Amino acid sequence: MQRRRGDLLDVSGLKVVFDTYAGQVKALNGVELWMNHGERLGVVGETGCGKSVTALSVMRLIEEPGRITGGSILFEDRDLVLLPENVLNAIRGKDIAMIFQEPVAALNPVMKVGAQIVENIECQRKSAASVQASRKGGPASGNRPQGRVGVQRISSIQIMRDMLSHVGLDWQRTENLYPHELSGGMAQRVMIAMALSSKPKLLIADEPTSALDVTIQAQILNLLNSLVRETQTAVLLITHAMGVAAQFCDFIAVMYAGNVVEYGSIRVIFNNPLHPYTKGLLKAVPKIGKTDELQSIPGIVPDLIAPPDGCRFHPRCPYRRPECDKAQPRFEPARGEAETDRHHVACFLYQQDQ
Amino acid sequence: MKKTSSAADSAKASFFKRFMYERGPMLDDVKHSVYLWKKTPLALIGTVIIGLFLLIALFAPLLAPYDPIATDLSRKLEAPSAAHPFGLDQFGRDVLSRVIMGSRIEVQIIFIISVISIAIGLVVGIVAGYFGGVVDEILMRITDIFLAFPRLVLAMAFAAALRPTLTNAIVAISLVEWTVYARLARAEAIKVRSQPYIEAIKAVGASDFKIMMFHVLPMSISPVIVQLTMRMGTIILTAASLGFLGLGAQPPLPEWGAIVSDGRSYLMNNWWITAFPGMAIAITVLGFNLLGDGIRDILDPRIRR
Amino acid sequence: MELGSFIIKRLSLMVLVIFGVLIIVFVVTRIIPADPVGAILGGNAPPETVDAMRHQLGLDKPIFAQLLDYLGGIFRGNLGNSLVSSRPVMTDIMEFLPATIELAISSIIFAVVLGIVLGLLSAVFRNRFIDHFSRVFSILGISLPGFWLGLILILIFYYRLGWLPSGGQYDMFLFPTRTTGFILLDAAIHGEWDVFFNGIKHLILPTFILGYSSTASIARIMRASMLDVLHQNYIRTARAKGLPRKVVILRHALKNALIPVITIIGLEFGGLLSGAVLTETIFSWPGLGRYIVNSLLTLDYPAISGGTIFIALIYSVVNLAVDILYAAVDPRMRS
Repeated sequence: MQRRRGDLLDVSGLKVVFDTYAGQVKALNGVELWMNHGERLGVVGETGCGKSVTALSVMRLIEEPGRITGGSILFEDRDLVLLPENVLNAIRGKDIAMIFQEPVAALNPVMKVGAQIVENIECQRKSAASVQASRKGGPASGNRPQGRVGVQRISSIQIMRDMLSHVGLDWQRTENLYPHELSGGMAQRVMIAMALSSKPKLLIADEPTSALDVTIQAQILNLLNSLVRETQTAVLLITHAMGVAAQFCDFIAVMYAGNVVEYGSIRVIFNNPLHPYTKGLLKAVPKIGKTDELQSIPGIVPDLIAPPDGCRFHPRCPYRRPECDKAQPRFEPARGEAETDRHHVACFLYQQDQ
Repeated sequence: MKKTSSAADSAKASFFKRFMYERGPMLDDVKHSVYLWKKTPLALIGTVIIGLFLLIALFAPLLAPYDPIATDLSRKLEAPSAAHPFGLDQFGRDVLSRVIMGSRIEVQIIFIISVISIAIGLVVGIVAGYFGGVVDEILMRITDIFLAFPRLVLAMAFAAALRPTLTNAIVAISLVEWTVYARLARAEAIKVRSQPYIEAIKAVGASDFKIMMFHVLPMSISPVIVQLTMRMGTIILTAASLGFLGLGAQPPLPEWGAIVSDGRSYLMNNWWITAFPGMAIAITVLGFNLLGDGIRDILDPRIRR
Repeated sequence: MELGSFIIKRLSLMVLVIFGVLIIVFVVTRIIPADPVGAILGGNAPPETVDAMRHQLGLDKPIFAQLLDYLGGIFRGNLGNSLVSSRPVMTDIMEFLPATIELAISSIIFAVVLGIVLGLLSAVFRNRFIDHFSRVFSILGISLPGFWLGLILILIFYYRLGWLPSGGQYDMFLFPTRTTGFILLDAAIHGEWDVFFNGIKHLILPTFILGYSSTASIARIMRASMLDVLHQNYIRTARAKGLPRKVVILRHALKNALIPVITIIGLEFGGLLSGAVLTETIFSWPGLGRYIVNSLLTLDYPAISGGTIFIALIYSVVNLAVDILYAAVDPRMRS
């Protein structure tokens, strides 16, 4: 077991497969990423590279026919891969909260949004109470004074209203609405209010702005930015937009076909990208003031049922070498970089013993 | 000589290649369907049951060991034996032969009802959906009126008013059954009507009748057929129910529901007259339902994934 | 749109449909039959008798006048006199209706409760024993002919085992006091508990036979709907909140999964009324279904028309109620 690399989250060697009619989709092939408390890590990559699967795995929300087949997800001092469902439920929502790509679909259509937020607050209070009680060694409800539940409920409603105002919504107008009565932007604000209502240590944002109008995207991103700055919440941001990641994050993990191919601080990723795929991605991002043509990466994302041998990027790689289709390159620290940049890359061009 | 043949060969090969390329997705689709079919054992069982049912109906006169309507009062109500596995009824008729011959009546019922009800349903549905507006409103309200009756009750009323015979029972059920297909065909017609190519055909001067015949009808027919396979079980049950109530096939016709009704008075001591024809109904309906479920599952995009 | 205006719209549609129902029943009972009088009197009646009968029934008037008479009668609550019992059809129906309502209510409760529970368990424990059991139970439910299964159960539970009665609403030697016409209700009001429990015993087999196919349909729809809902994004959100599985299923999935089931319950009620005709025949249940069968077999046209109209009316009212319930449950329907 290697040394823990991040004191909040350390994902290593994470493998996830989906069993489908056409065959086994090897969606994650040993993902490596880590982060400390309060940091913001962006996971970028093309559609289908496994960003969302990574996010869902951290919450252990992978559903049939998918399953985690290997690796570990250390959250603080516990490996989430090994925890039983009931222990996970005390972490979900409380320590790790999540917001999703399609906010309207992510809200229960037959429940008022206020009630959905209150439910989250109550749920976290209950699990906190049971954790406390189990630490004290007594039953959760043993010495609860009469009428406490009603008082707690009222305070939950108060928290819900504060949170709604906090995300820029008028609670009086919003709390009794149903999800179908919200616009996408409003629904995402509700989701953010819900996720942050329990003061999580880690917020996972799975493409939070992709399904929204461009003008709303910036608003939501700014809102998210100011809220997590206030509370020092760590954020794992899943996005396909390099620009969004650059704006928002401290660190970036670049994913390709189920692997993290490069990881490091914003500075090194943008100024000194090593992996050919990262280089390609950056060339595909438009920059203001520059008029040279955008370049796309030739080729297509590989079929993950029968992925290429060795490095999964080699069929598209302009710097391909003979060893590239033989073995998978190790994920190693890049040479000559400051430790604080945590620059890591998985590419034979930079393997140290060759 | 040789040259031309090889050119023809290569043309053939390229045709085949092109065909495979163009039709590839379709072939994959068919293969996938067959795969799903095999993976759903229940659908396979349904297919086998219906296959057997059709074979029995086809060869009924050869399979039936005795004359289904020949009476022999001296041997009435005899219990099942090796010679008469399903026993004899109150007139000494062989129940097995009656059940086997009855399968022909059931096939006839299903076939005619399907044709009539689909014809009515398609006409009403396509006209309503294609023209829309007032025509649609009127036709759909008429459909609603038919749907306001519990099916069997309306079929019973029709059958009785027409005089209870097998033919009239078939007509009566068709008069109730068409609403299902009318609604489906209407939905499909509305979809097709709003397609841009229909505008184009209209601009060329095609008549409404031609558009409905050659463009709307072919699109509407497949959902209707799928629905039909799922409703066949219900159709048999309805026909058998009419027979049982005395409002369908009349004695001595060996319609299964009517035979069950025959046996009712002798239930206590001579259960076989009731039990076996009822079992035949049950197994056939089960076959159709399993088959219908299988077809639905195979066409369901969520399961196809 | 508010629930109120939805109800008004739906109600006016129903009035239109009921009018259509009356027309169809008129056509079925007055126009299709080639020779209703001959059917009543038999083929060899003297012509004077036939004419007198035609006049008595109003069949010598033009069709349109007959239609007006018929509609006028119905709006005055007069469905004519039964040709068999010579009593007003309305009186007959009121006598037979409570038994049908009692049976239908007990069957629909049985079907809804068992169907939803089976479908829910089936979806939640997919591919486990309870799922296989429930699926076999359901496919048999929609495949076995109720009239046959009823007879087989009578054979087993009455003739062979003697556990349950073969038919009727209560044993012949009992003389319950009648107030409302509903046997169980009357027995409970008057404290006749022997009648009450006897009535329950008589209700068991008919309820099962009448409710079985609806149970099966509801279980199948519930299973499919639940499986669909369990894959929705909001279920993932609920799980991400850290809610226990039980809460996710009961609080978040169940209500959403029930929405399509509610529509089916309305449609199933039609099947239930159809089934009542058969069930009442098999179990000698003194209800509207058996009344209609008897009048059809004796070609008692006023009774046929009255009974059919009543059945259609009940069905329409139930469907109206279901639609309103649907709008009340699903907030998306209201806008």
